[in-house]
Amino acid sequence: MKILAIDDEQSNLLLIETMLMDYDIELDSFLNPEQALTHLKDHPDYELILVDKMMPEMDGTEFINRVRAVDTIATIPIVVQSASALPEQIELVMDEGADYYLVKPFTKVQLITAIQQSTQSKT
Amino acid sequence: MHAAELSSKLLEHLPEAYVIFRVAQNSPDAAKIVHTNKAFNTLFSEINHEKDHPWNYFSEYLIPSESNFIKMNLNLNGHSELKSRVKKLHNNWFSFEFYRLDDGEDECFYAGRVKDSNEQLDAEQKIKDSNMLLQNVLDNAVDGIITINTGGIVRTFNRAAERLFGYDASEVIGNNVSMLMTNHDAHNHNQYITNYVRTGHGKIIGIGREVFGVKKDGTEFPLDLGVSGTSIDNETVFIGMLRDLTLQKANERNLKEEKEKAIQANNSKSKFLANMSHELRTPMHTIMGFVEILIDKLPKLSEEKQLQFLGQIRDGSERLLALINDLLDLNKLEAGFMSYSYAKVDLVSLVDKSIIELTEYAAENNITLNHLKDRDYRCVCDESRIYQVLINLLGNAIKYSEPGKKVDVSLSDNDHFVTIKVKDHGVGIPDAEHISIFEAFTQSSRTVNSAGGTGLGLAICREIMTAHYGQIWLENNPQGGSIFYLSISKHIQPSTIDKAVD
Repeated sequence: MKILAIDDEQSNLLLIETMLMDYDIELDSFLNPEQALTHLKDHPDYELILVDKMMPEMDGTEFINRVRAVDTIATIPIVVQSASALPEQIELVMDEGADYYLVKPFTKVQLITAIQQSTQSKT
Repeated sequence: MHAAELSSKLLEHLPEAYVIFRVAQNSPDAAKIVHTNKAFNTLFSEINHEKDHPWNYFSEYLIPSESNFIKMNLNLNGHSELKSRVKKLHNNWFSFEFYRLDDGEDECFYAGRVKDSNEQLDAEQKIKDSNMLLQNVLDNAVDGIITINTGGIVRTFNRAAERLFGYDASEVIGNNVSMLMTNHDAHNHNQYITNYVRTGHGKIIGIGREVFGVKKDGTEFPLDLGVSGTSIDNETVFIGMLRDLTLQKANERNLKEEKEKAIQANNSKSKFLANMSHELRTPMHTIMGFVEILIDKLPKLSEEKQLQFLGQIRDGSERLLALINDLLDLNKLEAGFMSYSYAKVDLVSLVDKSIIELTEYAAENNITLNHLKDRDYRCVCDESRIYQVLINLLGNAIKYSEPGKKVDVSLSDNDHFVTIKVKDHGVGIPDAEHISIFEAFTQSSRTVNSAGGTGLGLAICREIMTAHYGQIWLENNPQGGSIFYLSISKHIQPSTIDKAVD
C-alpha cells in the first residue's frame, strides 16, 4: 500500500514511519503541504493520505479541499491526525470530507485501524 | 288673624334659623334683637336673645374679622344682602345671610338667616385642597411635566422640568416647546401636533417614546416622553411627562459592555483551553508513540535507532515541561500574582549576561550575537524578569534565523524610556501578525517546522513589559528579519512599585 504523510513536525513523521515499518506500506512524507500537493498531482497512485490538521502554511481542511478539487486524486481516502480533540473541531473536519479523524496521542493499533477502515470504506 | 301675625307664625315654623335685629345709625355696635324664631333659639341656645337684648353680631362665635365685616357692610355700605360665615358653632360651619328689611329714622331693621353650610364649605374646601394638592403633585413630581397648547406654546413647566432642562419656568412658559428639543425631534413634534389637531388621532398620544431633549446649556440628553391630550374650556392641551434616561442609557450601555466582555473572556478562555489541550497533546503524542515503539521492538532496534527515539522522548518531555512552566508563568503574570523586585539595573551588563547565556545555543545554530555598545544605560526594573524577556527574544532570534546570520542588540534612550533593540536577519514576521504574535499560543505562520516553542514566550514577555509600564513591539528589518523593541520606563520609583505590588 502506498501512503503519503504530511506533518509540519519532523518527530511526528518519524513516529508514523516507525509505527508502520513492520507493514507492507510504502510511505512518503512531507513537512510542507504545498509541496505534498504538487507531489500528489504528479503521483496520483497513493492509496491513502495521512495529514496533520494544524499546520502553519495550510490548514488540514484546506488541504482536503485542494485534494478533493483535483479529479485524479479526489477520491483518495484522507485520514486527519491532530492534537485538537474538541468535538466541534472533529465534526468540522469530517464535514470537509475527511474519512477518518485520529486524535493525538494515538497508538500503532489506532493508526492501523484508521488506515484499514478508511481504505475499506472507499472500495 | 292679621297678616303680620301669620308672617311671624310662618317664621316660627321655618326650619332655618332667623333673627330680626335693629341697628341704631349712631351706634352700630349696639344692635338689638327684635325677634328670633324657634330654629334660631334652638341653634343658639347659649345666646341670650330676649327682645332688645344687645347683640354683637355673633361676636362670640365669629372670628373678629368676620364680625367686623358684617358691621361694616351693614352700616357703611348699606348692603341689604350679605353672606358671611359664622364660625364654628357646635363644631359646625354656618353661613349668615342678612337682608335689610326697613330703614327707619335713626335705625334700620335687618333679618338674618343662619344656614348650615357644612356641605357647601366642604365642597369648596375640597376643591381648594385638591387644587393645592395638584399643584403640590406637579411641583414635587419626579418626572418633568410640561403642558402645551396646540400651537406648541408652553403653558406650564414644573420643577422637575426646570431641573431637567436647567431653565426657570418663566424662561420657558409662553415660548414654543421646540426650544427644548433637537431639530429632528422638533420637526417631528410639529407634525404630530398638526396631525392630531387635524385628525384627532395621535401617533404618540397615550404612548411613550424616546426623544432627545436639549438643556439650557445646549447639551442633549435622552428622555422618555409620554404625551396625553385633554380639553380645557374647548382648548386642547397636551401634557408631556418626561423622564431623564441618561442614567438608564448609561447603565444599559455598561451592562451590554460587561456582557460582551464576559462573553469575550469566556470565549478566549475556551480558546485558550482548546489551544492548551492541543499543545499538551502534541509532545504527549511524541513521548507515548516512541515509548510504545521502544517497548514493542527494543531487542530488534539498532542502538542508533534506540538513541534517536529516546532523544525524541527527551525532546517531547522537555517541551511538555517548558509548556507547563510557561503556562504557570503566564497565569501568574496575567492574574497579577507575579512578584517583582525592582532595583537600579545596569542594562549593558544585563544584555551581556543574556548573550553569554545563549552563546552555546547560538554557536550550535551558527548564529553570531553582537552587542553594539555605546555608553551606560541604567533603569529601575526587575532584573530577573527583564533577563527572562531578553533570553526569550534572543532565543527566538537564533531559532528563526538561517545558520550564518547575525543578531544585533543595541540600547538607546530618551527622556522617558530606555529601549533595547534586538535585530535579527531571520525569516521575519508578516505585518498582519505583528500584533497577534504577542498573544498566547500564536506562532508566526513563517515558523516552518515549528521550532518547538510553546507559543507562550512572547505573551509572557508582553505581560512582563506591561508590569514595567513599558512596551514590547516589533518592526520589519529592512534587510530581512525582524526587529524587536523593549522599552522600559525611566520614571518608575522602586518604592512606589513595591507598594503597588504588595
